[in-house]
Amino acid sequence: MGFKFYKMKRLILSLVFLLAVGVSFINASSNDEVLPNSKEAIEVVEEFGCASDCVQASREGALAFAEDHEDRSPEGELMQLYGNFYTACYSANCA
Amino acid sequence: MRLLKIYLAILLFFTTSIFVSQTNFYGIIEYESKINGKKLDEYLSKKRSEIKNNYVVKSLDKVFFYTKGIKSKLIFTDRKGLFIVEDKLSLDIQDLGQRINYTSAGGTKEYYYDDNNKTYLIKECDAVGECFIFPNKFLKWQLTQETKKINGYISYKATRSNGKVIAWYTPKIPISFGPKGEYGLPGLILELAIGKIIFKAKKIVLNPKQKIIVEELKGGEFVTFEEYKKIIAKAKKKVFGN
Repeated sequence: MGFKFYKMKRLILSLVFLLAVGVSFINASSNDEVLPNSKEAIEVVEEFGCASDCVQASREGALAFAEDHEDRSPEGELMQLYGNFYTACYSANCA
Repeated sequence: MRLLKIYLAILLFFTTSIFVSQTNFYGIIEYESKINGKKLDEYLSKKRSEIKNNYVVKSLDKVFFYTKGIKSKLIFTDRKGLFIVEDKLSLDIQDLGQRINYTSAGGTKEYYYDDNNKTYLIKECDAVGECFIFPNKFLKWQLTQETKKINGYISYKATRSNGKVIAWYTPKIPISFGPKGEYGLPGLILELAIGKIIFKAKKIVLNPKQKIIVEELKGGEFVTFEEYKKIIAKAKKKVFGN
């Protein structure tokens, strides 16, 4: 009985040790690899956010202003309007 | 009998003179385009409040409140014509009001009309960064009896695209062209409400002393209307999605 209890206790302690070591390894590897990448990722997202905001705003502006009738140059003007809005937005906010 | 011959000769002379003067009809029409007051009212009373993005509202305000006119001109001779925008773009890339109004007036596009060969073309260089020349298709007009006087000419109202495009033309000037590629009416277009802008003829010079030459469009790849449509659709998909 005493031996069995001793064996069980040893097994549980081993498992706890393994778990603790495993967790510390996982944390260590997370610190080493994920953090620098996430910092870089944030920077990229911020940069992309400016241009993507301009894309979104320019799409909305161009569609709001575009002609709502049969166009002689099929939507070529819509593309040009988009270009106008985007260039102005990018030079004002991102350049 | 001799008197009758003289009468006939005089009649023939006048008929020929009128015919010759009509076939050699040439001139320059100067237009100015601005934001259409009705469209500005629509924007202020309804559409502006529907736009949630403040930056878009500010941008559109710059465009709708741009008060300067954009100058353009139509030259014609021998039943051929060319319409171009004359104003040059300012160097300020952020002058959104001018840039949008300039593009809406026709921008760098060139519109060529030839009633003799029934050839109507558009040259366009800015939409996808390459120059294309493609047919300007005929769009049917609905003629009305509504009239008003423009620059001393009695002008008739015509509409197309379910009344969304409104033209005022005068049969007194028998040229079937107008601003921004519009054609097919029994007289020159003196006023045109199209999209958010309105063109108004500011100066009409008929048979001036200077020689007018209308040259065919060049400096671009000739494509069919359908081919051009596909090129733009592909570019549009990249920007606007499906």
